[in-house]
Amino acid sequence: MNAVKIFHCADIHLDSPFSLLAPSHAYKRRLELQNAMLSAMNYAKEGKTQLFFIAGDLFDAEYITKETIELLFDEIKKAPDCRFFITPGNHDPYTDVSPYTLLEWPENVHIFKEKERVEIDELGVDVYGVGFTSATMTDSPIKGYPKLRENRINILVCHGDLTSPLSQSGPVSKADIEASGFDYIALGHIHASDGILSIGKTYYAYSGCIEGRDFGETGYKGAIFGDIRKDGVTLKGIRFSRRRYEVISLSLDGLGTTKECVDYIRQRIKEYRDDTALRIILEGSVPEGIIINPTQFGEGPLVPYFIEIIDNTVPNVDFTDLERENTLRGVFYRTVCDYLEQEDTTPDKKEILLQAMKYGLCALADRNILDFDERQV
Amino acid sequence: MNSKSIIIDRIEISAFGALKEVLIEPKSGLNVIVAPNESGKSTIAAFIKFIFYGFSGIRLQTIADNEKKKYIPWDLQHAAGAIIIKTPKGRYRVERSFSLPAKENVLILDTTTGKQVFNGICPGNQFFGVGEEVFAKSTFFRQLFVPQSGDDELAEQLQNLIFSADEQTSLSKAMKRLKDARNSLTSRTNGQLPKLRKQYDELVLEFTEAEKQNSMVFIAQKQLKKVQQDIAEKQREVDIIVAERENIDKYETKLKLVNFEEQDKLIDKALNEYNTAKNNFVGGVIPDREFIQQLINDNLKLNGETQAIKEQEQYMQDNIDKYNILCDESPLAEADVESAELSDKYSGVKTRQIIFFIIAAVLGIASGIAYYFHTLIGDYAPIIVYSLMGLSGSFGILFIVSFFMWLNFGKKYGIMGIGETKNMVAEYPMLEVRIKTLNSDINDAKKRIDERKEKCNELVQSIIIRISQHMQGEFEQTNITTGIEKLDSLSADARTKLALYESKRKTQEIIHANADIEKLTEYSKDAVLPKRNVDEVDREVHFHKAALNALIAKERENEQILITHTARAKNPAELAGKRDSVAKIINDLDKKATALDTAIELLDTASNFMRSTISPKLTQYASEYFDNASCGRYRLLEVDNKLNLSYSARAYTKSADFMSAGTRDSAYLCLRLALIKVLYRDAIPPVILDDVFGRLDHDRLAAMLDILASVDSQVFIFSCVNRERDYLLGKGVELNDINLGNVKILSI
Repeated sequence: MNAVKIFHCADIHLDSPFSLLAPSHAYKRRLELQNAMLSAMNYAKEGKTQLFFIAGDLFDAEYITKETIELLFDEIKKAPDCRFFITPGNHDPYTDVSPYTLLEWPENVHIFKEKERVEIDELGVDVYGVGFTSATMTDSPIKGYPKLRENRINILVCHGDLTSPLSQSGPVSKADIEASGFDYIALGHIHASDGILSIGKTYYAYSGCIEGRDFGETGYKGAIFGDIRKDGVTLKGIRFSRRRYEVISLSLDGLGTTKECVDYIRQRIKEYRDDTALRIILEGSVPEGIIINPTQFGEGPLVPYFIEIIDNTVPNVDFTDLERENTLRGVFYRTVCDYLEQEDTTPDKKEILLQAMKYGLCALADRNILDFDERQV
Repeated sequence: MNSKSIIIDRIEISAFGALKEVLIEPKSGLNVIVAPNESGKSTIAAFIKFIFYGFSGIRLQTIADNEKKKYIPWDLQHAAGAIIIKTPKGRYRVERSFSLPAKENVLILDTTTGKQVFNGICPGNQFFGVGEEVFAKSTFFRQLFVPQSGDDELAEQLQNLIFSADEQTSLSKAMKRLKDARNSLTSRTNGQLPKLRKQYDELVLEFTEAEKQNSMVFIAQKQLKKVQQDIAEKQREVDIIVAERENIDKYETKLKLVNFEEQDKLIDKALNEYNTAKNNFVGGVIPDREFIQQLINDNLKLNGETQAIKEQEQYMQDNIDKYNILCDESPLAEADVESAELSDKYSGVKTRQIIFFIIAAVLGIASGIAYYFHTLIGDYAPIIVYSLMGLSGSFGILFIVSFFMWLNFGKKYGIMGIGETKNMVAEYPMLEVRIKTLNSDINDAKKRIDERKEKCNELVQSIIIRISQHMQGEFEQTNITTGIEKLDSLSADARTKLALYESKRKTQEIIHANADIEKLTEYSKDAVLPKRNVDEVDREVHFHKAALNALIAKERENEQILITHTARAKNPAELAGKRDSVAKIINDLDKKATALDTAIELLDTASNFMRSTISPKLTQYASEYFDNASCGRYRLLEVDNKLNLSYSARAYTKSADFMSAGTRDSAYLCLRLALIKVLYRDAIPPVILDDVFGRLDHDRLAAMLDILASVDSQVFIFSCVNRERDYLLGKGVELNDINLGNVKILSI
């Protein structure tokens, strides 16, 4: 039996709003996301892909526009020899008002709804799949298919959650995978890929998302491409993301000035270039009044294109001294500490209290406490 | 000296400001350093703070505020030195060096063991239990800390000391900062949060609408697709029926082509028939219709003439008959006499008879008269009578003769009797006219007959000649009409055949000219016999095309709907992004606003605590010092709940605004000393006073120096005058008098 060349991607989330970014950045990122998808499809076409799997969450149903779908259609039509299999996921379920229902998809696209098998005799492949029909799916997307045919390469495409048996997003267990008998399971839902895995005779993989959308999806992203045979797979991950999100924590302990802090941070982030959106979590204690602003790192090819600063530093005040001080500052500090130490203080409340402490100490030092500007969207 | 006091044992200045290699060895208790301005007093004070806390204000640009710029010798590019202190826990040597641009080393050694005891760049925190700021604001009485002008400033500092135990910490300012910041977020009129919430609400509405419109776009797209599918389906039906219709056209074309061929054959046949007809004529020349018509006309003319001759002859005969009848009726008709002549004759006869009679009668009468009157006449009477009588007789005879002539007048014309003669003569003029007319008519008719006959002969000859030009055969007048009719018939037949031939030929020519037979042949080659008639098919084509057009109109309508929805549909992702972005900002700012509220609340709590606990203690200590400092004049320094500072004399209480400058300085110093007492409970730091007594008069200075001599701290008094030293020495207070001009040179 010959190998079949496949392309496996998932969690594209086309037309994702990129809410955390400024609108201009968000617009750019949506275009980059589209471009990443188009690049992937072009790569698949150039690689003479026979079966193209999109394992759920192709788009965000809430936000998808006709223009984006038509763009996708155009690209699909450019690869008439490739057959596309789409399993709607929890973000793009197959509903009456879904583009899956309302639009006429190209002929070489098969969209799974119910659990079914698509037989491709010319390739000796059976493709199984199931799509979400609402935002939740409590059944396992791996079980409940017609009996597999031994003389076929059996591939399952589905959107499922391997992290929890109680998941509302198609719970999947490794035992299910092992017992499934599929030769390859193209999974979607988890946005980070762990590479090609196997249990028993079944290979499976989360392709991860194709382009990170926030700081919860760090690293370069892409898809899986290669051959599937009856006796094994030759698959590899291909990067398609234009950008990556990264998070770095830096301790500013011992730094005395804003310049020192900026120099230190700049030194530590020099490995991140303009393809990176970088969240810098600042920790440690710094002298009061030090303010780190993303604009201090400049712009250009050697600098992350987007920097977010999360300042978790605490004022460089000797709290031991403050604890003892009989000044208003000391009393204020101890008052805040009393609240912080209360058992029923929630993490959110603690965050508020720490922020209040910063504001209070700065105000008592007659320093600017405005760490926010007039912000508009 | 209190056991908690920290004593500076030794000050070693390697390089600091203008001082190099200087060694100072203070003692516990009072250390008085008197030196002129610019001699390095403040530098020593700054050095002490440098050793324990390092430079401050190093981010500031002005030399006055930037200690690094101020105290690093420009020629050495580094500052360094050490201080040895005695604490309740041991004796330590604290070394610090700072090299430009930013290399700093701190070393803390236990002088007993020689070992480094702890790390850190701020040993002051360790030794004194307070940070640099608190140290500087409490124990470090520098020139700049003493307000030289501005009552409000001093009052504020005093208030700050009382309510925050920190002269630089203003509760009211801090509260204002916090409240201003909070209001900038939450103010209903111009706060960020209300504006952002409004923006968020608008974005939610916009997003909802965009989502709806976007959904409508997909639905409209689906409807459009459905219509397009219907159009495609209908188009297929139309194509089929149009193909059927086209087959009919092709089939008709095929039939036409067959007809063309038959027409060609018919044209050949018509040509043959025409040629055959043409051969009936001499030389094959077919007389034209005009020619024939001329012949017919001439023949008709001939016949007309012949008929006219006959009629004329009849007419003449009739007149002859009439003449004969007249002759029969009147003898005069044959007399061939003129009626006038006859009448004249008859009248002459009759007239002469009358005339003769009248003359005879007249003459007879005259003779009678003459006879009667013969006597009268005379001799001639007889002649006359007789002559008259003779004449009368003669005329009588003439009369008789005439009378007989009258009676026999008609006999000569065959008329018997005078009466008949008389009548006939009387009627004869009429008869004569009729006879003459008849004769004339007869003659005319005869003449015309002759003329017509001659003409007819000419015409006959002409017709015969012309017929003979086109037809063979003998023709006479008797068969002229037959000949002409034959000629007419044959030529008409030939022309008809020619016309038929020409007509067919021209039609065929037009068809051939306008039709590409090859193409038509190609076009119609696959035509099959239609199953339905063209009307039925046309009706069906019309019906399906109408249905197709209706669908196309519907498609346009749906396209318009799609365009409308598309135009209205803003990008939901963009709006959701904005909405979420605003929500995130609101969330962030909400937290900040909550944090600010919390800070305000907790600061208020802390302030209340200060007012209820520390502040009273502070005012108590300060009041004790102030009582002594004012030599018992003022008992109490107080601050009310509205932060108004006041002082109490023995009999009254006054606002601090009424204090003199010196009194306020005293109050300030007292508060600072009280503050040290409140703040430093575990380790009492040295008190450093750098030119702070300038505005105190002698009594107040003495009182303050007495207080300082009694405090538990090691005291450094830097002064540019000898007042403080003199007073203390004069009072016998033990002090360490340090002369900067006489300090030891540090041996390295």
